[in-house]
Amino acid sequence: MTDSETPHSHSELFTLKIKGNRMGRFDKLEVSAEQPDERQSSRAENARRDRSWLDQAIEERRCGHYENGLRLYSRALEEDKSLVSGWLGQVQMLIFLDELVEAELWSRKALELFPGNGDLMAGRAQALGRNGDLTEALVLSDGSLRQSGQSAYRWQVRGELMAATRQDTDRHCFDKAMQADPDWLVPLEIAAAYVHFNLPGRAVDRVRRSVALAPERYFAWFVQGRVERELGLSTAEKSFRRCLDLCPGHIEAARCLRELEQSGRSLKQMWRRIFGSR
Amino acid sequence: MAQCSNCQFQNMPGVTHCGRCGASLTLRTAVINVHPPRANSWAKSWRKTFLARFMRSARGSARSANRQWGLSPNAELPSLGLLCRLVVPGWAQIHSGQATFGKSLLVGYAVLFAAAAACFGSSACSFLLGMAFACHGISVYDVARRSSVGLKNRAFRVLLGCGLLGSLVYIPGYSFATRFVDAVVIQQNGYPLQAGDVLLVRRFNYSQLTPRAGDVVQYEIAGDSVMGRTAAGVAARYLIQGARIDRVLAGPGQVITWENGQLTVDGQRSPWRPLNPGGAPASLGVTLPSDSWFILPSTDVATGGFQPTKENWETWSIVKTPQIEGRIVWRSWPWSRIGFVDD
Repeated sequence: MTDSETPHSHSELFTLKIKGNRMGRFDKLEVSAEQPDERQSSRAENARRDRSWLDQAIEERRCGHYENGLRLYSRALEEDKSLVSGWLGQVQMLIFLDELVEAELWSRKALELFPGNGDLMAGRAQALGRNGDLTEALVLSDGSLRQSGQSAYRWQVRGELMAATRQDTDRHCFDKAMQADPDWLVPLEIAAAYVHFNLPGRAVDRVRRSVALAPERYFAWFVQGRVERELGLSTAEKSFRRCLDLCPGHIEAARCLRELEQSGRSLKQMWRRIFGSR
Repeated sequence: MAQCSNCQFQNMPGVTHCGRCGASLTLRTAVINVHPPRANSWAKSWRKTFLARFMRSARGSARSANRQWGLSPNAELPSLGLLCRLVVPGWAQIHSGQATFGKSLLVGYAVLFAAAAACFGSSACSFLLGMAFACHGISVYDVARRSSVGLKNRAFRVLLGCGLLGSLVYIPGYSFATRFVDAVVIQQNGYPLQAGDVLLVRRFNYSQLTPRAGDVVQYEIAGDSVMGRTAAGVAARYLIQGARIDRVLAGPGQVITWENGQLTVDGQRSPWRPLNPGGAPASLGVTLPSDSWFILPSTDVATGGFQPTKENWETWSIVKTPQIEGRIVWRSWPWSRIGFVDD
């Protein structure tokens, strides 16, 4: 009688499986070394840890620390690669870091893993739109809105593309985004998009709304200061000061404030103040 | 039951891909690199420049136009590296693995271009340059053929590529070349030049390039009006003016003696002769002013029965500096006499 033919007790078989899957016919057995309650607790622990990395990433993003955010999203994905929000977060961080080519590439990879995911499609549309390929971006944005489910991000990207093509319908899309998610970060990112497409006049209302929703967040004050500085508004100084009050070590705000104090008002800022949207 | 993390669909146990969206159900533990590619600092700085933004916008516009005109909705533009290599005919082909074809195009282009440059200014030059451009066009067409679908799309890309090459390479190149060299077509015979000869003239700018003794130059002869008789014996007034081509024999302030075909400058024998010594006077003695050059107009002054006097030769052979327009550097036409205009 050969080794494979030797009769084993149930517990022996169990041990064999644990020791390295030497016996192929037991591959499909739905048994494990862990007890069911242990397994569940381990999964819960993993999920909690992944969630923790994700939460940290989101918190970094809300503070405008996109490099850290990207790193933490990657950390979360190392634990669990099936987190769509992790992949999406990475794409968004790359976009905010102005690494648009990389963002587009990464969103394509993510879409290969999660085909037809609306948010990832919107992410790719955003990267393409900011990289100048508006036609393809609009097609992708259409596709993202056709996917099942709703999200503020899809409408945000849609609005961004409308703004990029200088269409007035952008505000409807942004309103829709804010309706879908009343969080203060949505109007803030809308304002940042307006600034990116050289429309700081349209960004003022959004960023002020964001500051009204979260007056304790220094990043909102910082973005407000930047928008106001683009328009040459005297309130920019106040916004930067408020940002520094909330976060005394904010280097960028300190630099902006210093520049503001040293420089006069430019013709471009005057123009923007007079003609609003431009 | 395995729930898909992408679409939340409840899949049957044991399946590896979602039945609704196709996402992998074993992704959680799959071995995938989760660290995205990053732009280096050089790329970041470059992307912020005006040129990069302009190129990005142009690329976007080209894609939009491509789609809006219905040329090919899914067509992708060739890579930037390949597009840049189109500046040199055949380079894109060599780069993409068609070495023989690429080299043939490059050699063909080089030969045609060199031939065109040799007969610059003539009608043959236009023909050869056209052939060279066709070689370049073939290189563009080949890239367009491989990267696009449909005749319309291909034609659009070839036209766009050729148009860009013409406007960014050839027209600026031609303008640049003609800033230094002009082509002059000889209108009438006058030994050693013949009607129809094409000569390339390098214009003097007098700050970097000035005439020297021995140069064959194009100049404006001092205007003169003389009375004489035609071959038929009829009295006539000859008007001496216009552009001439001949050799500079001496420079400002020098004392010249021309005697029986021998030139003496400041008492020393000079190796230079006018282009047509037979057309020069038998003897002449001149002391040049400080801003003048000595050029004997030997090629075409003596025509018909008119014989200039010694005074006439003295007047015509003293040429002021601004009257000298440029140096003749090359005879580019006809084929049989391509070369330097020395003798």
